[in-house]
This record gives sequence, structure tokens and C-alpha cells, in this order.
Amino acid sequence: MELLQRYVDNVKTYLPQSLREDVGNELYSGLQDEYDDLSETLGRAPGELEIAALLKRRGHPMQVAAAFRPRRTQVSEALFPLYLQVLKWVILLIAIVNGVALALPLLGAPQPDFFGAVWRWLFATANAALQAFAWITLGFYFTGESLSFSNAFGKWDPRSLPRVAGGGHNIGQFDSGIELVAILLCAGWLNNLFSLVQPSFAGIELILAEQLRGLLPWINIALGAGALMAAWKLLLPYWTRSKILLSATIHGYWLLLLVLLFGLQETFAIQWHAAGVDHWVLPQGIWQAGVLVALVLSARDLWHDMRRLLRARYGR
Amino acid sequence: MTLTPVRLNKLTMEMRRGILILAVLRSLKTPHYGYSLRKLLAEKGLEMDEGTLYPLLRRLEQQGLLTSNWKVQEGRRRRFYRLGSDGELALKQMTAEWYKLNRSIDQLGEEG
Repeated sequence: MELLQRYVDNVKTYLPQSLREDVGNELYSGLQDEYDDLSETLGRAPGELEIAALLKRRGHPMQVAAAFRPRRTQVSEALFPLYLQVLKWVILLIAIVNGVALALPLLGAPQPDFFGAVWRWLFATANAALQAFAWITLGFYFTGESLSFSNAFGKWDPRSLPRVAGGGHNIGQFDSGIELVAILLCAGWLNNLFSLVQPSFAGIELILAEQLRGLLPWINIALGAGALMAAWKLLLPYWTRSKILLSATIHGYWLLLLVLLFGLQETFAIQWHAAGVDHWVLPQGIWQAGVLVALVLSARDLWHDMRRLLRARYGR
Repeated sequence: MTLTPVRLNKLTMEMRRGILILAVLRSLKTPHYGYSLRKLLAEKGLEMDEGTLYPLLRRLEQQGLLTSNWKVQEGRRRRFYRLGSDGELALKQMTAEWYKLNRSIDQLGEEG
């Protein structure tokens, strides 16, 4: 009997104050009944080993106590998909912002340390992502306490669900992230925005030719639309008809713009002040080769958009 | 994926979980304490370990389906549980649902 009491006392240590006595008494009463049954079956008082075996069948005191406590989770099952989505968005945003923030000084550095930058980016992203994870989880924990499943999703309307095209195949978020960073960097470089952040810029200056500068507003429209499109794909990584149409429009616009850009005779020069003033003018051949590659890629993307659009229209 | 005994056991336990509530509610038309209820269920072929039964009784009591009180019987303090008024209503509905499910399963045929 001493072993039974010891067992019950141990279970009680793992129970909340409000349940301790009540559950402990009931458990002890049940164990006594079991002990009596065992005595009756054996025809004698059970020995210590037999009582120990009986208790072992019941389970470890911590396990027994755990069954009386409600199963708490940090994020409720109902809110878990939303939690994952928010977590993904925030971590992607952190990775992009960190990527841009680290790339800016790198462009202006006389001897850029690319390996160190990648390492710093990984460390900063992991650090910020861990903090975001903790805060988001905490937010959802408190939300989960006050917000029920019906509150969170009660007002949705099946008619307002997006028409997902392509059988629900997702757009690669990594690709969209890279695309967004590349567009932002390109826009920053063309519009000389980096010199605002990094005035010294190692004495390097980008000088746009008159013809290219004339097309800059049109290029900016394409870059802005591309950045918005990449961000849209990043946040909602699936194709819809409207998304495909917009993507096709942007690619079509790029094609027209690239045809115009291909014909430019003067584009840009890079000027630096290392030992006196020197400059390098981009030869037209290299420019045209680069534009041609961009043309082929845009045409390919436009072709993919058209195929997606046809599939979305005439079934999968 | 092969159907291992562990997986099969898990599937069976999952199916039993909901039915056990019905079994407990049905049994508690007459008052029982935990150990006597467990023995009664075992006699009827529904083995249930204490780690499941006692917390379940508490949960059903918290939900207002059962009521309980301490009594001294055979010189020992025991907590007796019985069906509450909400429990009777729940039992009625669950029993009806049980028969309905049984009929549906029967109609689907033994082999599915």
C-alpha cells in the first residue's frame, strides 16, 4: 500500500493545484480496488513486485497526470494553415529585404567580398527569421485563445475563391524571390539610386546615353510592373487567369521595349576616378547580344504564358 | 505502404474513440465509480485502460454530460458518476446516430 500512495503522490506533483487532491483521491481509490482484485485472484496479499507490475501497467506518473490536462498547442489546428502561410511570407520578406540591404554596399565596395556577404545574409536572415518565428507563434497563440475557427474563416464566400489555373501547380517561390531582388537591383542601378545610399560608390559612375535616358521612363514602367508581378507571385504562388494575362502583357511589353533597345547605337558608359578620370563605353555588339538574350527569354516566357492561358481556358 | 499491426491498431483505436463516449454514457444510466465502470465495460467486451477512462469521465463531467459525487462504500471513498440531464439528451442523439451509422455501414456490405 505504501507503494500505491507513493505512486499517487508522484502523480499529484505533475497535476495543477485545482485537480491535485480530487484526481489523487480517485486514483488512489481505483488503485485500492485493483489491489483488492489482485489479492483475490492470487489468494494472498500481493508482493512488492506484483504491485510494481500493476503500477507499471498504469504508466509513469507524468504520463498519467498528462492525460488529465487539456492538450495545449501553440497554434490551434484550425489556424495552422494560415500560420504557415504568414510565416512563409514574413520569412521570404526578411530574406529579400536582407538580400537587398546587403547587396547595396557590395555594389559600391572597391573590393566586394561576395562570400562574406552571402555568409552575412544567411546569418542575418536566420537570426531575423527565428525572431519572426517566435513573434508570429506568440501572436497566433494569443489569437488562438480569443479567435475561434468560425471567427477566422466564417465570412468566406466560395464564389470569391480564386480560379486557380494549371491544376493548382505552384509557382516556385524561390524563383519569384530571385526575380524580385534582380528587378529591384536593376531598377536601383539604372536610376542611380545606389549613389543616394552609397555616395562614394568607389568613384564609379554610370552615365546613360541620351537615347537610353529617353527610354528610361518606359523601362521603369516595365520594371515596376515586373516587381509587382514578382511580389504577387511570391505572396500567392499559383496561377490565375488574371495573373497569366498580366504576366503575358508584361512580357509582351518587354518584347516591344527590347526591340527598341536593340536598335540603340549608344547606351551607357562607366566612368571611374581611380587615377585621373577614365571611362569605358559599352560596345554596341555586346549590348545587342545582351538584348538578344533578353528578347529570347521574354519570348519564351510569353510563349509559356500563352500556353498556360490556353490550358486555363480549354481545361487541363 | 503495408498495413502493419501498429497501423491497424491505430486505425481501430481511432474508430473506437468516438464509440467509447457512447458506451460510457450508456453505462452511466446507473451510477458507477471508475473501477466498477471499467469492469462493466470489460465484461461487455469493451476493454479500456484507466489512462483513457478516468480523464474521459472528467472531460464529460466538465462538458456537463455527467455529474459526480463522493460516497463511502465498503469502507472506501469512491467517486460515483452518473448521467446528467445534458448527458441524457446527448445519449439519445448519439444512440440515434449510432443506429443510423450501423444501418449505413450494413448497407455498404461487409466487404465494402
